[in-house]
Amino acid sequence: MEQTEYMLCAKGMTKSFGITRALKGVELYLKKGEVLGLIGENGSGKSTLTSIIAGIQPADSGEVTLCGEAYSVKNSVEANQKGICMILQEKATFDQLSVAHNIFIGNETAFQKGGILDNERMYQEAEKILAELGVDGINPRDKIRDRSFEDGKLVELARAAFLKPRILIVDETTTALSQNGRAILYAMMEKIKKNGGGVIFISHDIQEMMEKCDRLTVLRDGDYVDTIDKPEFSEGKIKKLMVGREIADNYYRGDHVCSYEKEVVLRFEKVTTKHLKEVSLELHKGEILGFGGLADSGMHDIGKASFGAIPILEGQVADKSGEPISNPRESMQKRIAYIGKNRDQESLFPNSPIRDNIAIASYKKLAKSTFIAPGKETAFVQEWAEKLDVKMQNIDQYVMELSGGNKQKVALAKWLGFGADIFVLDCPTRGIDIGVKASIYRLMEELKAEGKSIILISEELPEVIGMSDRIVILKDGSVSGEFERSELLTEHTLINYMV
Amino acid sequence: MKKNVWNVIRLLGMPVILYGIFCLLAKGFGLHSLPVVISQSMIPTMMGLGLYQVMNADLMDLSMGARTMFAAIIGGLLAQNGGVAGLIAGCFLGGFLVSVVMAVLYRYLRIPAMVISLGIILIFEVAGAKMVGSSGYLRIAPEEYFIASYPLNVVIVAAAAAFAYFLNYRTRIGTYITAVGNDEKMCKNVGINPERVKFQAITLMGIFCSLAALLYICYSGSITAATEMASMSMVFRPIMCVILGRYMRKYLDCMPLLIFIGGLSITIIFNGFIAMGFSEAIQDIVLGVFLIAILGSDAVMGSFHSKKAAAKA
Repeated sequence: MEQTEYMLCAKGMTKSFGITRALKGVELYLKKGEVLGLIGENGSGKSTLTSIIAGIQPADSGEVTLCGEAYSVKNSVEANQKGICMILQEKATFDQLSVAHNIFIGNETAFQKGGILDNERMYQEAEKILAELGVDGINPRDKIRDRSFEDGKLVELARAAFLKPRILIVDETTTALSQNGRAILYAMMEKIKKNGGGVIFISHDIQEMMEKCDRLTVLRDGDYVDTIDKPEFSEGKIKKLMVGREIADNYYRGDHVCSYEKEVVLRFEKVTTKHLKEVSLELHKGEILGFGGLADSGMHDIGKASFGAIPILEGQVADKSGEPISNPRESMQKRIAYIGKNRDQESLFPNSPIRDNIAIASYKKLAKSTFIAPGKETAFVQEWAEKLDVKMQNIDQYVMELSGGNKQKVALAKWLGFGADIFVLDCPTRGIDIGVKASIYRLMEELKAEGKSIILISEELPEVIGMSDRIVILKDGSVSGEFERSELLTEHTLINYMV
Repeated sequence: MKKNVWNVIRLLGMPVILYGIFCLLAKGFGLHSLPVVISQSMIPTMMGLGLYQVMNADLMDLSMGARTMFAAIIGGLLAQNGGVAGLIAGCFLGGFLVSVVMAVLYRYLRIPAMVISLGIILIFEVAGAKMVGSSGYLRIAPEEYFIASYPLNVVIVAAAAAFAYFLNYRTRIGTYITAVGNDEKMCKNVGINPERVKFQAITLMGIFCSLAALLYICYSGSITAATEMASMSMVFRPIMCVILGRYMRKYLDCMPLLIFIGGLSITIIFNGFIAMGFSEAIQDIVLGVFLIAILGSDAVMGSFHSKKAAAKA
């Protein structure tokens, strides 16, 4: 194929972080009027490659051309000026600024007269952009700190829409969006495509990629693997290209039996929190208890309340002996572990090494009187990092340098090493590739077999159905349905109880 | 709009109530003393407006007192021959000079702002002391005092507050300072250079530093050079003004006005206790308790309201 039919060509792209080679001569070709999917496991180099194209970081070497001309940018503003815009996986809005100021940040010149910003005109223009996108209920005057995470993502979309990009890069954004938010994003992608632009789309949801993309470029461990056209799309083939080995279609539990012991290990007694209303339920020994619901249904409060991380306004969460749990310290004494949905803020210290992150919950065990034996600590961390197969340079590597999946493995290693009996996992596979996902599911099965109990909170219904012994659906803070594991249970059935 | 007016009234209620309490408790504290109290709150308010620029950019600067004193000394020296014009020019020259020095050091040495500010205190306190000579203090002519007299001092602070408002809410640099204080990494992703913005924030602080110097030297008619980091004590009241302002921001997003309300409330408490004959140590304790009580009451009330809301639901 002649390279001139491509609007963006990236060849021989390399990038290293210390001794880690994130990109090893990767290539990417984007045609006019197409959505190109970029897929690969965590740490395969997708975000690194696209952030280089978007001007966020420089490449070590490689050549990029845009519409046949050499393309080189020093920062994202230059990339925006050349028509390339990126929506990042992480939060990219400023809490203290208004919605309108967030939309136009870096591009305020159009609203400036004699050095003074015309805020009113900014608000009007923001309102117009939001309306054109189909976003309702966001006041441009509101501060971002008063809006939800999803609203923040929609504001980022509006920011991109204002820039009218020729090429839009969407990096793992859909997991943060509701169905409505996703529809807005897809419509925006379609519009760019129709206008002869291009979209580079990154997601771990293979179904979504197959549905939305015209071609798929697969990366693995910083290497280019292959690019396949839509007619060649099949889940099996994509998974095989991503992982480099066959992955079973169904990587959830193979059995369809609801199995657990009689002993109750955790009990919710009419628990009321900010988002929960008199919720009563029981978690049994050896049980995986799944929770599903809409984002604001209160299901995330279940996790936090189980760990004593939020105030319980009425009722109580009690352990097997009936003793209430009111704070994380007590929870840890009762061998309860919690991995939050937002792992960088709730479960990890990204600016600390893997060593500290894994050992932190187990210092009591590692310490001899007040001193921690360095040798014992190293052996402990090494053992759990290896058991969880964390891809790292060494245990002194900073967690912030790891991919999403490896960060999650570090969070799990911390609690496994601690020796928890109850695992509260809130969206444990969020933003994680299928390889790591499969390994987390296997780990959950092993824990269940050992008699450990798991609370699984997830926004992905197939995951809840595939892994749980019992499923509790929450709606507006109350239990709207409870189901036992069954082959006949479908997403459709659960959705009826969610909305 | 109506809500904002109601919130302004509510917020102004704090100094009004405090003043009312001290009028009842302290002899000699009444309406007649109001201009004095307002005048005394002008310097911490002006310094608070300056400190807010750097605190908003997530920097901590303890050198504002030293910078203000140094600027006042330069102003005082130039006033000896240049009169009012020399005084004003000197304060601005000194304020800008020190602020630019600090901004340059911060940008190019890449040392934390607090560390640089400590160095600046040591250097400029000594420099100021050398400039005033062996007497250790500097006087200005009485005809120059009018700059800090009531109500001109209020007009100057009001003008500075209006300027701060426009700077923070109606200019690009103000937006960028807030953005940098929020998240530097994100700023880079949208093409903002955080280092340049911080440089600008520290430099802009020089304007308020200069004006504070002008008010300072004209209010007392003289300035005594500070040594051994004594100038640091000047920073604590303005920092409290900014902290109180930030706390009140949820009711009204207008930091210059909130800093003034904070400054006025703190000054009322200090003057009230002086009028009641309390020692300086007691004044400090009560002020600390006041700050903790105001900020702590918010957490308690928040928890009470959420419990009440849950009970209702």
